[in-house]
Amino acid sequence: MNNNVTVEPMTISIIENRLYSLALQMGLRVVRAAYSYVTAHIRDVGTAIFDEDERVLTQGNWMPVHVAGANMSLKNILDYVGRENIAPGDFILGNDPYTVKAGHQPDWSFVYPVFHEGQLVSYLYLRTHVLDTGGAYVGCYWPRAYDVHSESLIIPPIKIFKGGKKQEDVYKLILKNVRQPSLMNMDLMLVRASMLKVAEEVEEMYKTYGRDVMKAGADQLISLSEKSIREAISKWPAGVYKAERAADSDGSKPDPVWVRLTLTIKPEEGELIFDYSECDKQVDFINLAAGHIWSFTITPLKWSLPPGIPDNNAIYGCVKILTKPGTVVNPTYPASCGGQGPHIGIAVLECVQQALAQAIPKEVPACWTRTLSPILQGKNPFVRDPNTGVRLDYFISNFHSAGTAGAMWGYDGWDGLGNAENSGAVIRSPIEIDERDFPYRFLCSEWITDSAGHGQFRGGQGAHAQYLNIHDPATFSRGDANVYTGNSDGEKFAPFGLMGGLDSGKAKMVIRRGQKNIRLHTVDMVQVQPGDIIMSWSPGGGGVGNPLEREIEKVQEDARNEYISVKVAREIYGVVLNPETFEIDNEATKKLRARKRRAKKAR
Amino acid sequence: MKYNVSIDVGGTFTDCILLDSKGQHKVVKVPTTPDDTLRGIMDSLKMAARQENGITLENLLEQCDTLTVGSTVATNAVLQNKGARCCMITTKGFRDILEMRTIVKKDLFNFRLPKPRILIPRYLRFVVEERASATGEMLTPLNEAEAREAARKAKAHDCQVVVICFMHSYINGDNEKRMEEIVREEYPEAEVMLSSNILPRPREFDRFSTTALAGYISPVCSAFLNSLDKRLENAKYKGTLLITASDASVTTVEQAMEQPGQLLSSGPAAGVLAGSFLGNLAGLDNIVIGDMGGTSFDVSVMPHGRILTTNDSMVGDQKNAANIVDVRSIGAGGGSIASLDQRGIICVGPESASADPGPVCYRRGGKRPTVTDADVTLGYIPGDYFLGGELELDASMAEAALKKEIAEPLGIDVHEAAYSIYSIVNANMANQIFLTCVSLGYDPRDYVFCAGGGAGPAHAFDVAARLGLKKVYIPKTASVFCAFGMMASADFRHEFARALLRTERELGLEEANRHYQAMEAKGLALLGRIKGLGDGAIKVRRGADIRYFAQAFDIEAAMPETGPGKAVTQADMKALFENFHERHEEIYGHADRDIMASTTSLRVVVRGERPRVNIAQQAAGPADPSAAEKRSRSVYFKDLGGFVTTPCYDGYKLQNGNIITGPAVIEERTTTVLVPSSATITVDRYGNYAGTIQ
Repeated sequence: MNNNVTVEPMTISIIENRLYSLALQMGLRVVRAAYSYVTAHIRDVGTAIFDEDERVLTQGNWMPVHVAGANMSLKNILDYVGRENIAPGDFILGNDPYTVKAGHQPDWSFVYPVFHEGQLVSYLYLRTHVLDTGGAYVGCYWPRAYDVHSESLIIPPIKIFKGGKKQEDVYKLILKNVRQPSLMNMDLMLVRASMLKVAEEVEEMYKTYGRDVMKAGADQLISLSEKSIREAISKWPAGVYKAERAADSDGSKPDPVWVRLTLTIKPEEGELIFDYSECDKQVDFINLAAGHIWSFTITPLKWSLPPGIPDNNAIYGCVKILTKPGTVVNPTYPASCGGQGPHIGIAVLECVQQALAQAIPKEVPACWTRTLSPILQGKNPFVRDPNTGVRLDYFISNFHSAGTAGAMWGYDGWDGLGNAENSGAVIRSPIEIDERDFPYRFLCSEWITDSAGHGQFRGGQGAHAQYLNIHDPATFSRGDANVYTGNSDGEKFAPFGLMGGLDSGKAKMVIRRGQKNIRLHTVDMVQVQPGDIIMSWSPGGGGVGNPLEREIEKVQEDARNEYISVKVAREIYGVVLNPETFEIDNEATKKLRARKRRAKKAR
Repeated sequence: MKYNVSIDVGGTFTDCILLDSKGQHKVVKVPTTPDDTLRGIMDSLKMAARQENGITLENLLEQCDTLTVGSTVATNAVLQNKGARCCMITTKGFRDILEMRTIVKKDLFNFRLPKPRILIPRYLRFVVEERASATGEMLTPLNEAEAREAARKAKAHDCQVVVICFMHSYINGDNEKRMEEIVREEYPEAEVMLSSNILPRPREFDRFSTTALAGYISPVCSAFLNSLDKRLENAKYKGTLLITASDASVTTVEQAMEQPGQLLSSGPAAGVLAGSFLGNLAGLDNIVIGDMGGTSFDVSVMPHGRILTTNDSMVGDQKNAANIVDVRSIGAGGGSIASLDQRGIICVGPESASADPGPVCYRRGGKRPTVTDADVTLGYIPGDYFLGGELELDASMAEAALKKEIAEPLGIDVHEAAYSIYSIVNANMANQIFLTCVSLGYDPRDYVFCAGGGAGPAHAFDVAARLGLKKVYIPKTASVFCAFGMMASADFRHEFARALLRTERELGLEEANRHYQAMEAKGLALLGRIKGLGDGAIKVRRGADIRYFAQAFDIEAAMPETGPGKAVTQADMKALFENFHERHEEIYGHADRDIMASTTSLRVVVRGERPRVNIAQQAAGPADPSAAEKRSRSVYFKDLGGFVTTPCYDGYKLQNGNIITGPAVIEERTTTVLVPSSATITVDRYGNYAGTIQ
């Protein structure tokens, strides 16, 4: 701590705001220019700015799953490269689940150090799901990846630029091992250009304020956040809370894979201990790289903390995480981590919710829908590289059947937010752009009536989407189109409700081929033929509170809008409506609700 | 005498500026009348007439050839939920596009928030069978039976506006047009909005949301425009009535009714017009404009005097994807209310006392202290000369409220409390300028701060100093900044686009020219309806949305503006694509000329240039301003230890070349310029104040 330097609150706020907006910019430029579908359309990006002591100062408003655990990613990268080897102009890249230990292999981590007057003052971090990683299939999520080698190219943290100079040998080796190298080159250069621009701005801040003020400012903005967090935790009940949730399967066998959590809340110390030692042993494909557990633990925790606490290093000081090597949350080489986040990651996240809900039920949202976004992959019949004539490989994860948030005490769940680990930082792709650029036509993308978890506060809507493959059969060869579900989960376990709110339901996917419906399971891969329609239905989020206590007018609005059916209004909510006019039958409703309440009590 | 008049209806004040043919101006501010906006407009005209040697309103209007109006009518309708009852008819399978949104949640981890408001609820979104493909092929013609059924439902639900949004209608709008015909047959009273007219661009959510927004505000806008037109007609006005559009152009009443979205933030958009006019006049290059009105502080950045636009703005919860001037606002103005939060920290804004009840010192029933109350208490605004003495401000009431709400609970001196409010609102505004510049990639320290708004000149130097800016420019018309802008340099402007996917290699000249000429012809036809636009006044800019082949997003590139009727050559095309690479490099820091570029659409902007106004110049006077000294007052300056006797100058007597060194105050009817001890002001030949900070 620099106790001798005091920084005015105004200056701290300026430093904080400026860093935040730089972290936002760092990602935005990449999103707007990238070739990677998920980067551009879904905003599959995370950014963070660190100080010289490797403390997170800010994260922008990007995917929490990429940066809620950025502290560990940077540490692992620097441990590997060696802090003493970091020099101005270095640009570091890595994707190895066993050294970077963050995300799966298509999530590439980039680090750019910032120097001021010859001294290291900051690190910039960016992570994004790149166009291709050179695995068996384009873009990854190939659910049969039985080890990290079958998954894709593995890059331990290496400098692809040294002192501002491109390391041609290693750079060429990487580009030679990925599909569409000229486009990959473009994306890599864009990431670097964006980080360079931010680095200039950060250095400018050090020039303006001086290193002492920046250091003291960092201390203070972190300690302000830490104070708020510890104060919140101090009001939570002390205790030990257990939870368990499972992923559907690892794709190689049908059994669910379990995550188990023992949470210890220590209000006096303002500390939380998350012990995951009792998780299942590591499996195929869906293991969670060891450092990544931070993202899935911190994200749901933030939902339960008071709003408005700036995202920085403070939270890591209040949390301890314990795992056992060889389990699904701390796998050992060479187990594959290709499908980790949406499976084991999400089970971790749901355990945190379930455990916290026992301690502070009104501060925890009900369970979200798991990721349901069948990935459309293949060779694009419409687009060839104009220079080489090669058909482009495509990899689309459009999130149109993605579910959404559970309710929270006092609030209905928001609709259309996507998966829990990203808290609403993902968005659906624009259909008109998808249809312009890829060989699929959407037949629909809509909410599903009665899909949300019911409750006094209702979960968000589940969604249904259908995609028709329009590849011309005359030019189609077997294997030109596939659908894989390596990032989809939730066909076995429904999102849970809380405090008397109901679970929502289970996910479902099929391929319609002519008159036949072929069931599509999670963590699977199937060849697609021209004319096939891929269909998916996600449940909504879980409900909170007894549905019989939901405001009658809200039930009426829900029925009028076909979020719920008139039948559900009556049977679940005890509200009797005219099916034509949606008028409330007050007398009948009063009687029905009274009868249902008595029946509930009797049970 | 001939007059040019413009009026900007803001949240608190209705501003009016009158310019005569000799280049002399008069400015007027009257309270906005939210119950009937027109009353405020007519009041401001009457007052302007009175100031112009006491001529009558009829006299004024008789001699006025152009009247330009900007208004917050549309924005307010959205923010206050006072728009029309609309329904949407959309493609079967896509009922929920409007509700699914593609907007990232701002406060990611906070779920103790109500959901965003959806303009058209689900039960008023009807689906019909129809479908076009991304290439414009009609896959499924409109199912007429379902279309009629939907139109009848619209009627049965008593929807004033029917918004029609079909997939890919930006490239094939036939089904939308047919749907419109059916609605007109089944439900002739309804107003109809087609997404293919409002925003013919791909990305369905952007188009649907922008069209819904247009539908929602349309009746409110039409009612306003119609009654304005009628009221002026009754007052025997025979000149041209122009409306300021959100892209900082002007448009006719007729065209504004067809594109009601153009009325969203039509006032604030004109700030950049004042900026570009003054920039030319005073030779300013990088300008950042901060307009501090009664309710909001609007910031626009003009690198090298350029107007920046955005197609990614929000009005409340609603996305507006139309191209509009990039103005970023926060709730900070003279009316911003100061209060203590639960931690006992002073907060200023975003809540405003607005026009009614207004600040405490207005004596109209306001109880909660505002920035204006703080300014009066500190002597920054003279209580006896606010709006030229039209509205006497009660400094003792302001002080009492500050004491009760802020000073006493905190146990501090009332002047200390007032100064804290002044500082906090300035810090908020400085931060907004900072965030706006930085998020657009510009360094505010390279900029001149151009201060507008009635409250702006009393705060400008302190705001600039907080950002490390050295130069402040305060125009004589600062208090009616946007009204001045719309008069000074607004043109007619029409923008067109045609979806066209072609690589640089594939795009033929013949094909490009065919599209360019068709779009240009549409623009010329629209401009042809406007009187008094000479041939030389019409300019055409041809361009395209271009991306590297298969990239997800595109960016706009353009060829230099020319006169109409020019055929594009091979060299022009090469220049266009080169412009794309340059822009890509500029925005993203990287370009790759080895990757083939390709268009996603061609664009044309047709501009009808209007003559710029003429501002009278003064002969050079002495450096010594003492001839304009009016009186001395006690004014609070923190750095000088509190209240000091400060010279006050009469703004109307200051002369070209006068140099004023702070501490000083310049009093004008509609604004007060506060010159701190660290600043010096030089009056330029247009009577504007060019300030420097040491």
